[in-house]
Amino acid sequence: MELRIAPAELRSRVHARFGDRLRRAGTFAQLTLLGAAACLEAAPGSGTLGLLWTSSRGAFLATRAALAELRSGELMPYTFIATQPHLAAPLFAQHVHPLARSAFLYLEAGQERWLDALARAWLSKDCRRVLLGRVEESTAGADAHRSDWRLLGATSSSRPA
Amino acid sequence: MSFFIRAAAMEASTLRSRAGIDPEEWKSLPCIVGSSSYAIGRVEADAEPLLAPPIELAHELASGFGAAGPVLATASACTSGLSALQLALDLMQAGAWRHALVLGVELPNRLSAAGFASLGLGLKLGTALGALVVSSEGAWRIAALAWQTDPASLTGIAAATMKAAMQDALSRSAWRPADVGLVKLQAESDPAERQALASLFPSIPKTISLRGRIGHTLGASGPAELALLLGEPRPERRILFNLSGFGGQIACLALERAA
Repeated sequence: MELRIAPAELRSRVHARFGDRLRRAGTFAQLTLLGAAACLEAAPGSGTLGLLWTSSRGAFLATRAALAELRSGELMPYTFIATQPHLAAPLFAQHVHPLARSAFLYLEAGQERWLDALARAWLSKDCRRVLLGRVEESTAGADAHRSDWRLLGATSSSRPA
Repeated sequence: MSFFIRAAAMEASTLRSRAGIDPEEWKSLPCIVGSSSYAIGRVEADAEPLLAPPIELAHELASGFGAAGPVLATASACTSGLSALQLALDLMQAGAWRHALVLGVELPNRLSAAGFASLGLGLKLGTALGALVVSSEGAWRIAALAWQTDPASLTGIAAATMKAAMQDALSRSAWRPADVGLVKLQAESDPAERQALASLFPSIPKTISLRGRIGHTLGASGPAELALLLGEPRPERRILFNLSGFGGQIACLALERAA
């Protein structure tokens, strides 16, 4: 499942899927939930679920906004909260599906094999299924946000189309 | 298979000396770093801050420890260092690694302090680098690392969730409450943690809090507090180590002195 979302369309996409429930979540969490939920809902199955995802810069936009607010002397709580990429996991558990395991990693491009190794480890003990993702915010207005996901199962795997 | 904390320290040369790993093997050591703020403090005063990918700091730190194996980085706020430990255990259990270097780091920055202040949490924050070598042998066996998440709150953990984490750690370790000799507290005076202890232990074991010594070191807390705790002689044989974090997570690590 490969989502490409123009920055100007993100708010309407989030509202269409989650209503107002993610209005205070930052861009990174919104992209994580949109992509992971779409991937999960596209694949039949049930059982304990893990969420394992990566990014090169994480919640870059929120961090940049928080630093601007810090310089202006008025850091807002929800801006600060949005700087923490892992908070997408409790939001996912609350609004999409309970999680048996979750972890967020910063990895260099080309190092995704560690996500697969961790997913296999989780599938062997804690999870029946693991959502694996890469989420990259657009830092230039003309580029699309990316949220790419696949679902691995204990006995089979599915790859992006 | 059992895994152990082979060495814990707050700087590289002490860690290497305590770990006693062959120098050639050390060079290929994999490293997982946990932090809640990475290198943000280096650029936060800049008008146009250039935010480097956090993995760059992880590589810098691994290199400082002389470890040139694979480098991974994770973030889960205050539990980041223990999340790094958990991921190392996952990969070691899967047979991918024999030893692992686990770092928790929190460098000086103003954003974390201002962020927690904005949430109305008056914490005494600290900065630290804590380092562990996890291995198939060592002085302290990791009997369990149990996690619970409190779905009700991002910033506080209910007593029931804390109790569940400790119960899970005891259960996975096959320990009874009376077997625990020491509990490293999440915080010096957390009413929920006190309530959880009172409801779990017929007689509360000895407790210790380390925040008075180094402050709350956020993502570094796990490895840094383990380095403090295990870096001095300990009479206890079995220890529970509690740590909770922003996002509603609590981890309970059960440690047993190796025979």
